[in-house]
Amino acid sequence: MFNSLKRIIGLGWQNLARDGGIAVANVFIVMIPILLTSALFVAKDVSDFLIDDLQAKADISIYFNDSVSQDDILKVQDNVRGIPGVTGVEYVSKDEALAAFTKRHENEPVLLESLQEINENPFLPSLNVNAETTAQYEQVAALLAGDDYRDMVNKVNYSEKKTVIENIFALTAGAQKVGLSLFILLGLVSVMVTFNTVSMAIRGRGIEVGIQRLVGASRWFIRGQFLVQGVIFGILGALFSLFVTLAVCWYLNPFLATILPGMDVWQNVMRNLWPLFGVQLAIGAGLGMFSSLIAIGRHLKV
Amino acid sequence: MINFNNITKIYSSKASGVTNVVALDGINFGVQKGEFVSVVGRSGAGKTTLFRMMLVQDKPTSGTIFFKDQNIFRLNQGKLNNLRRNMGPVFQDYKLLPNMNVYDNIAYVMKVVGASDAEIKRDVPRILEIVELEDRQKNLPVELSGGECQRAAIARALVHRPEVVLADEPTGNLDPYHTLDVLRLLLKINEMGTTVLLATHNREVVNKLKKRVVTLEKGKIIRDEANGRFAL
Ligand SMILES: Nc1ncnc2c1ncn2[C@@H]1O[C@H](COP(=O)(O)OP(=O)(O)OP(=O)(O)O)[C@@H](O)[C@H]1O
Ligand SMILES: [Mg+2]
Repeated sequence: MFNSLKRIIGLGWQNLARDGGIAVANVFIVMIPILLTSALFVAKDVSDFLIDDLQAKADISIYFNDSVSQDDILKVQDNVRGIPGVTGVEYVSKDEALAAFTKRHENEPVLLESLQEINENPFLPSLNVNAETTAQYEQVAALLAGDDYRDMVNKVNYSEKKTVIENIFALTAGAQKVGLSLFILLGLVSVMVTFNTVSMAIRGRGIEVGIQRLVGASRWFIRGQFLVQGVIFGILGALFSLFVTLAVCWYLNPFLATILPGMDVWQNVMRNLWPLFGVQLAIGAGLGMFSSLIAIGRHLKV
Repeated sequence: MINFNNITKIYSSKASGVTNVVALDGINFGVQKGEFVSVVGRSGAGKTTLFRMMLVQDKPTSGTIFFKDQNIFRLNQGKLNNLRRNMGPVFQDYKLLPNMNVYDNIAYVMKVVGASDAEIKRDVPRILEIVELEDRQKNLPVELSGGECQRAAIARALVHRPEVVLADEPTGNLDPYHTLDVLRLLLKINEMGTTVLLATHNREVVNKLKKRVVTLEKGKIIRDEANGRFAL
């Protein structure tokens, strides 16, 4: 059993090697849908990072007027904590806000100098609120709009972040939809091309198949060689796609890291190397096998 | 072991439109296990057609062939494959796999019958040596002379030790030296128990063998003699 499988693969490889030029072209075509999926894979990674990043930062920042005392702010903190779904409320004093800003911009002397020129701390004390979902915004907003607090609050910073997150979600979903349609289209093209190559191989080997039957080769021993042909296209396509994906991530990584600080595409891809290759292999081998099977069904009457 | 039962074959070709060519006409004869039978007859007498029937390359117009009491035209695909693996055919037109070299052609049938890699490595070089093709084993069939192709075809037919060898004009392209060699080889495997059916119109070959001779003429058996001679 194992032996004949090995032989079928060997014969399939021989078949494929005979028309090498067509094989190379075919592998390239098979790579297109695989690469597209890989791009979606990486894009998903980037959008996940963006959303995680935005969500991990305080969802809502409540800035208080300079005149409000720390005690009053801490009372507000307790009240906000009481809202269900709020996962954390952090008090940031004027001094802490200044320190954090200074640290964040320590490499930007111009900015820090201008800060010193003001000669006072321009930052407002704030509460940073983390919530489970964006729906909690409304409750926090309702609380702060009450008579007790209206005068204390300078500004609340939440609506922009919400839109940004929603936009990213929408963008990702849109990209996935477009990607999926494109995948179906390009997958179909690759199936058609592989189907054509395998059909040509079958028709070109009519005499050979006839002889193989005469010496008693079984159905699947003969069919197997052509089945293997499509699958090999897929596997080679997946392998090359993996290399291309890695190379692209390697080259893009520094650029992405400057645009999105903290983002490490290379690292993420390396961490998900096996799932990524698994997906590539499944798509390649699946499309290849599917194409071969229809070609065999259509043209190989054994 | 093999019984031809009233085999008639009338060819009708769609391609050429030629119909009603009677190639075989009521053939009846039996072959015992271990026998060596020469089927002789003029060109066009029906020898190849008879062999084609045996491999179920084509079905007879009427009549049947029994192999070990099984009607070979009623076999399912799996059993038909087994039947063919039990036969070692040497085709008049060789029918070597055009895209494989001599070695791979011979190894192919061993793969088909499920021989191990070790057996292939052992037996293929041995048979190549016997037919004197060791230094042609890497060549493709188109790169061989007619006689070399014929010897490769013989090697392929014998390498997996089939129960029956069907040799259709296996010496047609051979010089007297190699003809003698092939005859010796066929006699030797016959001595070892292989049933041999040999189709030929070579008088010398038949007379040298001193075995049973079935003579065909226009699709009919006109003579069937043990220790027969070529007489046409
Ligand atoms: N496919 C075919 N279609 C039509 N007629 C055929 C076909 N094959 C063979 N014949 C005819 O059947 C008859 C027997 O042919 P066959 O090939 O069996 O002869 P043979 O005895 O093998 O001859 P040779 O010694 O030349 O090989 C011939 O008259 C031939 O023309
Ligand atoms: Mg003939």
